[in-house]
Amino acid sequence: MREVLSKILRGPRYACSLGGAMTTILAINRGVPLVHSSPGCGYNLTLGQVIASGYQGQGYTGGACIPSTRFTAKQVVYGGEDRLRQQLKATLDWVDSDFVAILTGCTADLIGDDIAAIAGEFNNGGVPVFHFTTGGFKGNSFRGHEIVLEGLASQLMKESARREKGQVNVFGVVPYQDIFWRGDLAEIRRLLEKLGLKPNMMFGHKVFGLESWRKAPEAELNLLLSPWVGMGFVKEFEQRLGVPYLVVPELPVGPTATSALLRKVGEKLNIDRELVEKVVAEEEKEAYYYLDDASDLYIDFGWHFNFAVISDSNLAIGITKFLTNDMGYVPHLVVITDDPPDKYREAIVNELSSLNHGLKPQVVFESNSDSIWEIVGKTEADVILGSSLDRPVAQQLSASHVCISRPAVERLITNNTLCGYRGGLELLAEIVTAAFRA
Amino acid sequence: MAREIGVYGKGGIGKSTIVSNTSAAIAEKGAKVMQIGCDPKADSTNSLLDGRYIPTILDTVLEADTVREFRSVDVSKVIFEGYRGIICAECGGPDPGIGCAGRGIITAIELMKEQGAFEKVNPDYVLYDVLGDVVCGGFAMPLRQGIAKQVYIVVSANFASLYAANNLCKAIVRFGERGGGKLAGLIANHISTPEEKEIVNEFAAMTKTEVIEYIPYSRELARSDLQGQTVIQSAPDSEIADVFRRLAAKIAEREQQIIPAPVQAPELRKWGQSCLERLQASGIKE
Repeated sequence: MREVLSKILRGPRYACSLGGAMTTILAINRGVPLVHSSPGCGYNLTLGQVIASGYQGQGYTGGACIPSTRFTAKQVVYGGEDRLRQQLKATLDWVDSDFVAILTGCTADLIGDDIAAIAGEFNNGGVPVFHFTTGGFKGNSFRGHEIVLEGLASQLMKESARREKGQVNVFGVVPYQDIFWRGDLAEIRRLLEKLGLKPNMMFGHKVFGLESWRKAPEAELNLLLSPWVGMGFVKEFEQRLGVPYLVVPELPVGPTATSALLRKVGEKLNIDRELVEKVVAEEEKEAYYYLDDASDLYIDFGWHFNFAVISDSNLAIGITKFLTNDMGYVPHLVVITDDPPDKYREAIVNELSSLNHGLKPQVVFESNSDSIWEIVGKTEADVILGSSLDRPVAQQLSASHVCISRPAVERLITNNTLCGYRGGLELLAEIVTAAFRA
Repeated sequence: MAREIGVYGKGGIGKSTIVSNTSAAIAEKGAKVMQIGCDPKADSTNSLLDGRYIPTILDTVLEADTVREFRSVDVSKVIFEGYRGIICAECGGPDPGIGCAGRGIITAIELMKEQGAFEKVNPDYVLYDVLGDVVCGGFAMPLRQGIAKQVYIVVSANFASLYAANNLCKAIVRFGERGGGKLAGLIANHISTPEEKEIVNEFAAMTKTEVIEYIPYSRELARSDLQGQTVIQSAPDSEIADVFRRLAAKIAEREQQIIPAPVQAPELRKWGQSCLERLQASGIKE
């Protein structure tokens, strides 16, 4: 029985590839996902995802507003192409948008509707129509996110002879899956701008739209803030469109990692070292002003934490490094929940094994909540940083709980971030506040 | 309790002709027969209907756009009475290259069951005429538990048809283990020479199956097919009509269940090569 149970994915922290693709499109301003799938896929996946990401709203046409072909037996047997054509026409007629993205669900992919041909019929110089084969069986949210990146690159982007000085495209933060994506990207943007760069933000509904994607091939650099999500994409981007990439395998949290990121970007783009150091000094001065005051808690009250992190890999690495290297807390356990392909796992473990004072947390790759809780239940951590699903196991351990990963249904997220100098401070405040309340 | 029979075989081998003529021969004896064409072409029952094409189950039920409408379709709109009261139905399906024909067959048969079509007709025999190879789950539908309990495979001396039959045997073994349809035998079509007979017999021996009837090439049969009739109707006194009467009698009585032993593709190919050489050798002799 145990063996059977261990193969069940209970309490998943991500959705299927269609889910990841839909939220990725919704994160691009005035992008409209058109779901070519059975009734319920669009509504449940988008609404479920945005609610579980700290109530971020339905987006431009998510949730109850998502255009869908609502595949029934008729479409399965006779093919859904006519129905798709009808829905696409209606969507273009009725929804004021900058682009429409056809996203297929499982049934449409199984029967093999030719969505590329149908998108082609509607691409006559008006609102562009893109197509993505995202049937849920193709993988999880991260794969869906990558399918959109790859699809937009091949369907929209052309090699550019022109290079925009200082333009940096930012990838690796998966919208909604990283519940703080809006705040995270805002912080990254703020910092890159301080270096005199022109960050090109690919996501940020209501702000950054298709224009960012059109001009992406003119960039000087693709910055990937993940140890694996989008890795294939930035490599392909370099090969086909000639834009080099810089991989920083973490979402930088707090001063040490953020200053390191700025120096790496500065070096890669030959930015004046003095300018980089000036920005670093300014930012660190402010960050340490607050950190210094907060550290009295440590000295006066002996507050010191043993922690466990349960999250996607880039955030898990960022948080673990900050709490260990900057704050001097003890990392007990890191559970990586985004199911990275095997070839990236060793590098992730290495990132988490090169911490200060030779501290080496137990690193586990696990997406099944039952197994996660079993492992977490055995730790001596007194702070659990994870999703809302992990609150009960924290209570069991009499540990405090901070909600930092998806699904997050116990907090409203606006411009909060765990990223950058600002994010480190916010995380520290969250941990200590949670400890007071526990 | 109806005797439910599924007839499979490679496309174009003459399944519909054999099934319709067999249905007609069974009906001639006074039994109530129902024939269901499981092929998007929807032409299985033409020769029981004077060449007429009938509206398909799928075309009729899928006019409905909602599940509720879909469930409320009247079965009498999709079953038609043909020669000697044979109840004819065609699953139908999509045009080539689009949609999912397999799902279509599942949908059509599920609907017939849900709507109590079999209880209403109360046939003594149900013959399912199923297209081609069992390439996916949909085409295996009639093989599954509770639908076609006896399965016949139509073969000829053509290697491709035997290759398909071997694959069908694999599917039958799989479904047989789960309580699904069992193989009752092979029906050999277009058998006019001793060499052709020998080839199908060798195949049967190799796969531990059995040929229950050999149907010769017949101009009479081809003609009546084109006229939209069976030979039982158009040429009741012909030799070929008697062949179908014999086949019908065997099918009516047959209780044997064969567990076939399909062979691996390389072995089958090797054997096919040897058959070809033998045929060429005999041709040179002649």
